Amino acid sequence: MENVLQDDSMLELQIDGSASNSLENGSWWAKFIAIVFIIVLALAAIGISFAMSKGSLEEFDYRYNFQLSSVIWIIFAFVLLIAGAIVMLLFSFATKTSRAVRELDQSLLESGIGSLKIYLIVTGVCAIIGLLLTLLGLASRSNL
Amino acid sequence: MSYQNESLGLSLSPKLKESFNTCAVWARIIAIISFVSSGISLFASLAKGSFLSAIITAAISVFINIYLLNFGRRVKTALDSTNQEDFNEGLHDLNLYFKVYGIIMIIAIVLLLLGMLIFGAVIMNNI
Repeated sequence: MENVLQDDSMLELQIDGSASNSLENGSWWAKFIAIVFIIVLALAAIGISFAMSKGSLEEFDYRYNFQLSSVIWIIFAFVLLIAGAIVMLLFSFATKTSRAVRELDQSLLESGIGSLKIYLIVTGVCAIIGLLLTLLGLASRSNL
Repeated sequence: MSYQNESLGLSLSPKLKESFNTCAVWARIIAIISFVSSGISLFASLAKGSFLSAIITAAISVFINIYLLNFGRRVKTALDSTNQEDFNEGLHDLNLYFKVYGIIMIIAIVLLLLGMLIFGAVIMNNI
């Protein structure tokens, strides 16, 4: 019975040395990318708050007789929020996975790969929306 | 840190398998969308006349996302056929995806800093 179980486990996929090495190196680079994006997003947030305090977009309100600046600020904030969530998911994947590989922690690895899964889903949905908006933009431009 | 090709006590539990399967599906979707987007931006740049920058951007995007596509393809095959070699190669592709992404980011930061230095130097000379 023991031999059969051992043979069965040989047929299952494992996180072996090579896989662990790839996960650890990949998570190091993912952490680097996440940190750079966190800095970029923080700078963007500071820049946007500075521009808001100066009332940079208020001329649009006069031109279009509509609170367009508020709509633009809400869109900026929403994009920053989504980008921030994506970056935090990447950072979570990187930190959890590298720790899981170092400490051989199964639940931490599951949590880390879970973060990578959500990161890819959110990025994918954003990519689909971006592609649709690009196609819509091209179609409206060709109609003009 | 390097490990030998042996089990380290971490196993591919059903939860991990499900996560890797979803990762593989979405990785392929993202890669295909980025290929299509690159094609569209190349096509759109023909009209604008900024073809060179569009070619460079599209080439970088395709180069990075080939690794993501390979990760998705290999991990899906590995999970379907229980092939350890494909699984390891898939994870290696994920590692390369982040590595190339990071290196291109470093190059972009260096170029940005150089540009800022040159811009600063030109302004200082004009004052």
